[in-house]
Amino acid sequence: MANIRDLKTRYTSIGNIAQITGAMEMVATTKLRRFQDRAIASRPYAEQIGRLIQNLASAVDGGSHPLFEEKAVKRRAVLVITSNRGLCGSYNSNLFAKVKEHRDQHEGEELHYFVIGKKGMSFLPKRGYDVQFYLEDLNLEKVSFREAARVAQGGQRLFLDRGYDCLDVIYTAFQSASRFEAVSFQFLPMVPDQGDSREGRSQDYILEPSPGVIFDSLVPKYLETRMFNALIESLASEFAMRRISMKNATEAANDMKDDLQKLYNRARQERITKELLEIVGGAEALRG
Amino acid sequence: MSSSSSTSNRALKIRVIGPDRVIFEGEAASIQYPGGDGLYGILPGHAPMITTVEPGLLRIKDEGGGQEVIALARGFVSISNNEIEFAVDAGERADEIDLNRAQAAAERAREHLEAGTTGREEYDLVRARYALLRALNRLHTHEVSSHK
Repeated sequence: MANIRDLKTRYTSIGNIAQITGAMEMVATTKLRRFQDRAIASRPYAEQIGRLIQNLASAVDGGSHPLFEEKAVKRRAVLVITSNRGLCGSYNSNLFAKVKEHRDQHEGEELHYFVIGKKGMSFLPKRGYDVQFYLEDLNLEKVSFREAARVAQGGQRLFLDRGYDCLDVIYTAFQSASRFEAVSFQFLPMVPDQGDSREGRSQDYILEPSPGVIFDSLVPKYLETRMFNALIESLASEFAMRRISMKNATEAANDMKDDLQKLYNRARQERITKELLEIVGGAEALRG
Repeated sequence: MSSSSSTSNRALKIRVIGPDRVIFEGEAASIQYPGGDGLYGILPGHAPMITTVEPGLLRIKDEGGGQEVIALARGFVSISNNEIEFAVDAGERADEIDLNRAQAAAERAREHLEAGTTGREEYDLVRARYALLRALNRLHTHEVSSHK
């Protein structure tokens, strides 16, 4: 029979755990909402930049722009967006699974990794991934468009000056508060939209100062919006997952509390019965 | 929508979008903005056009001569079917501008620029210069909008 005092202690400590995970769930819910709002607020800008790119792509020969240049891939840079903190379910392990899958797809190439988030930095080097750079000073939770832009500019330098033939980004795409998926996409060279940009173009625009000038400053902006979007979606996914796993943890703790309560009651009842028996037994003995 | 748009005085639909928010949305009779090739004035019925936007003032005018002023950073604008959409790095409506903050920022940037001549990194100088431009832009916006 379990010790009554032990049961009592466990009951209390599990209660405390449930309280903590419950609080974390609430924090995660709030943050999730904040990042969802930010993702929505950033959409009009990204859409407008995307439309401008489409309108210009046909006026300018996109293929000749250095950021569009397809090279034979020998050196590939991979940016992995992980989280700084744990307790978010399979958020990071899904990413690492994707990283592994991605590596298997690109066997024979020289793969260099660039990492955002402490979790990635503590995991990837141990598993033999060649991590070149850890973007440590990026404050994920407070990430602004300007910071995302800096990351995107860094990516362009890798591609243009540092001899990388391709830059992929692996992040978690946010579909809804309960659906998210680790995905990889090619950041550079830019892939011209295969879509219906040519047919969809209803009118010819006057372009000033010149198509080239507009295009040259538009392309980096477009990359910045994509990077910002990847970061914001990753964060939204992280908090969505944390919310779910903390919810599960709280529920599990409460179930455990119920079980312990029953065990405790039974143990207590048994002890009382035993004591009663002893008293009765003692009284019998005295009378006899 | 109805077909009256071509004759209406408030025929232009304006949207000013920043990376993380919509800064302004409304209608106007005409606008004026600083583009890559100088100051542009746009009236209803303008041909489709895409231009770059330079830091400066966007003036959004209604038929009565009143105007709303917005401080713009660098960006782009597309014009078609009387719909004008700005996508800029940053922007502030005149009523959002904190005068004291803008003045303090201008002050600070000037100090940086003066200190800069004694061997700071070039990057800092560029940054200080841009900061000064931004601050002056805000101050200017505020000034223009307060005596319309």
